[in-house]
Formats: sequence, structure tokens, C-alpha cells
Amino acid sequence: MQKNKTYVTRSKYVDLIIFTVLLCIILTTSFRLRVYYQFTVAEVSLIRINPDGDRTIIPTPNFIHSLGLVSEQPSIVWNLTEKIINTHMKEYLENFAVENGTQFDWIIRYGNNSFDLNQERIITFKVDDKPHD
Amino acid sequence: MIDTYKSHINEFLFAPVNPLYAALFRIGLAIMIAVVFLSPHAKGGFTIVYIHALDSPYQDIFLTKPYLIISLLVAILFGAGFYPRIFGFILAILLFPLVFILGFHVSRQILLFTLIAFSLVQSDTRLSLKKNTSNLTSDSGPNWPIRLIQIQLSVLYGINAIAKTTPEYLSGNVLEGMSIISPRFLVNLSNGYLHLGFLAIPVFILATSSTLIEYILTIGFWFRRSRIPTAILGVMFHLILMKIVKIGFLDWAAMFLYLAFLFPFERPINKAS
Repeated sequence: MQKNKTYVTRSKYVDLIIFTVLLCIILTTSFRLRVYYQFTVAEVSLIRINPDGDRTIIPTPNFIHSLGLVSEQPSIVWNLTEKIINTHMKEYLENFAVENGTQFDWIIRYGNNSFDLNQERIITFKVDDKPHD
Repeated sequence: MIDTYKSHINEFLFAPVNPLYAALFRIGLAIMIAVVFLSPHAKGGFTIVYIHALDSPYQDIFLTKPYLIISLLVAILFGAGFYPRIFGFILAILLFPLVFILGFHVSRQILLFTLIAFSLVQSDTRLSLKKNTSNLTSDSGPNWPIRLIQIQLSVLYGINAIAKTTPEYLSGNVLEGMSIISPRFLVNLSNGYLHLGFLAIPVFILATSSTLIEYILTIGFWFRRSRIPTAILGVMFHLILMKIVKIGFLDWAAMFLYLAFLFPFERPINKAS
């Protein structure tokens, strides 16, 4: 006679609870299953603000242009972008004389999974001050 | 009507699983896990962890040879059918940290979840090192862990299809841009075409058709008549995709999960033995 084990936990209702919990986990973590098209489009501009308030747009270095379309979600792009900009500013300030009180604003306009750059983030560097957002 | 509905749900979730196909899936899963989780780290090398503060535990523990060897041994015990439920869960715990390594997370997440769900199946009544001493004509438990694996596969394709259903992607603009910048792309689509021999396929057709295929793969497996054509379509899709963009082991992991639909897990035992 065939013996059937029709439940995992010997109780249909406990089985259903476990099934439901695992199903919820699948659904709530599904966003992590997206692949290469998950991208951030970014446009970076740099403004230098002198102590007297005079604002000058400075050309951004070449390496920033490669961030124009990045196949990662914004949070990962931010980590990468901040690290790159921090390193660049540190080297710049070490190599060039800049008047105290000068401020550099890195303005990053970006779109999440879209070419519509409708979001903005500014990373500010002030000479004689630590970089901050 | 409610009784009919309940009966359908009962059948959908609690039909008994054929032990032979459960065993075959178990063996295949163990092999896939060894390939996807362990082989990339076998030679060491640089890895990026999603949470940078945890770099040290990864380099000191999770990516060390002893840890990987232990994981491999547990995978072998699981695949060989030696207390697969217990070793399946142990393996899932061991592999959990490896899901959070950049570049591998999608394939590993779906396989880890498959392992967790499949560990609920009693898959050691056939083809196993230590046969379960219960009646050999008994089944491997209810079908609902297999249903979770099937749902996982549908979610994989569905979420990707939905996320691609944007004007920017469907127009081909995203693929064009990413083919220039992303090192994962193996072709250059910057002139608006994918060149295959004498064919020049507009990128927007590539983008639209790939999205449509993913919608088909989301749904097609759930109907008996469309199951095999969907599997064939899926295999062709992934084989072509491998020529266009590198997505690591995800192609193989996804195709492996087709077995969750193609294996006749609900076949009565006396017909299979």
C-alpha cells in the first residue's frame, strides 16, 4: 500500500503558513533579481564658488563622463561617485593653491532607470573644511 | 464552488511529489550550487561585497579555502542524498553570505532560495547514499516546495520584464548606451543595429522582443500545452543572450530551474518505478 506523506510538517495549516512566509520572501526580495538594465544616468557639473561669492562653472574631468550611464542602481553609483570625487578633490587641493573659504559644488543630476534627469544631489567641498553633502 | 476552489488549491499545493524526480532534481541542484557558488572563488581573486564594512569577514572567513571546502563537502552530501533535508539547510546557511557578492547576487539568490525550498522535500528515497528507510513506494512529500521554486522562476522573468517596460528601454536607447559603456556587453549597438551576419536588427526590436519573451517565460510554463515550447524559447533566448551580454551564471541557473516545470513531479509513483 502506498504511503503518502502529504505534509512537510504533519500539519496542513503549518505547511500553509510556511508556504506563505516563503512566498512573501520571494516577492519582497524580487527587486534584487533585476539584471543589467538597472541603471543610473548621471550628468555631473562642477561649480566653484569663491569667498566673494563669485560662481564659476568648471569643466569636469574626463573620468566623470564615464558615469554618464552606469548599469547599477543609484545607491551603488553614489558610493562609487563619492569615492571618485573625494579622491579627485583631495589630489586637486594638494596640488593647487586655493583660497580659504572657496567652495566646490559637484552637482549631480540623475535619473533612476530613465533618461529623465529629474533628481539632483550636490556634494560640497569647502577649503579648510571636510567634504560633505 | 468554494469546495471546488479548495480542492484545486489542495491539488496545486499538496499533490505528492514523485521521489525519482525529486532525487534527480536534488543531484542537479547540488551540481549547480557547486558551480555557481563555489567555482568562481576557487582560484581566489578580488571580490566586492555589497556592504563594504563586511569586507573583512568575507576575506577572513567566507571566501577562505577551508570555508569553501566545507561548503563543497556539504553540497556533495546533499547531492548524494545523505540526510538531504538537514544538509540542505546547513548548506543554505553556509552559502547565505556568498549571495551578497557583487556580480553574482541574482543567480545565487534564486539558487539559494531553491535550495531552501527543496530542502523541505524528502528527496532521499531514491538515488541516495543513505536511503530513507520508509516505504520505497512512498512519495517525497507535498508539492508546495516545488511550487515555490516554480514561482521563483516566474518572478525572475516577470520582474525583469516589468522593469524593462519603459519607453527608454523599449526604444532601444538604453541598450545602445549600455553597449558602449558596460564592459559586460559583447556587441556594440551604438549605430542602432545588432549585426548578425548579413542581418541588421534594429535595437528597438531587440529590446522589445527580449521584453516580450520574458513576459512569455513568466507565464508560459504554467500551462501544460505551452510548457515545452516555452522551455525551448527560453533556452534559445538565453543562448542568444550569451552572445550579446555577459550575465554570469544567471543564464544557466535560470535554465536549470526549467526542470521544476519540466520534471513530472506529480507523476504517480507506480508509473515511474
